Amino acid sequence: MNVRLGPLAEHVVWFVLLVLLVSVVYNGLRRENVGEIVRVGIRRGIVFALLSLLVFGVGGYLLAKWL
Amino acid sequence: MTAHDPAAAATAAPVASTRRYSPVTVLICMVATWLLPGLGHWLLGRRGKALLYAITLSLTFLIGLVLAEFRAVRTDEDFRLYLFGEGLFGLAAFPTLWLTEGLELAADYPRLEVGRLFCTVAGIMNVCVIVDVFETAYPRAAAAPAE
Repeated sequence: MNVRLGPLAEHVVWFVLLVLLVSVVYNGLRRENVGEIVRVGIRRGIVFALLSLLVFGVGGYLLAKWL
Repeated sequence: MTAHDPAAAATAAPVASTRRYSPVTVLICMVATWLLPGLGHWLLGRRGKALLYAITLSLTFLIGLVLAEFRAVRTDEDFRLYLFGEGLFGLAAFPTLWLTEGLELAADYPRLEVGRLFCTVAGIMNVCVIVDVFETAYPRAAAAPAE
């Protein structure tokens, strides 16, 4: 499989970081306790990032094989 | 006296503000938030959330600047749409624009797109924080229970 793992891994890292930051801010709009905001935000951000990577990873792989 | 349930209190909806804020005060807080995320919440007394927003959004913008080698905020044609988003974080975008306008795009910057994305997302998230300032000052009344 012709994949450049270096740039791919780097983009995954930036994607996860951005999702975590957005998730913390989003949960800050819904809660008042700062500790809870950070805890829930990070947890939900990680879940979202992992699910997204799974969907786009599998989907991208299948698309690449089909094309 | 009812027992205090920390778990319920932690997840409960924000207590309705008993303090009345004038529209001018709220407008000042919203403009302050546009300048620096969290400043409006600080003025309304929400110090913890103020620091959280200030640190999170400033960190997002700073990461974007570093990734783009300080070339993320520009008035070039390809950058104008991003400038609109970045400008929603006033105190970060416009001084950056002024300070970095002399930097040329002389080479290929591999992380320029990612950097611009981080800076723009920081600005867009600030819109949500500005709205949160309004919601903090004028919280919505809890829905009445169904009879």
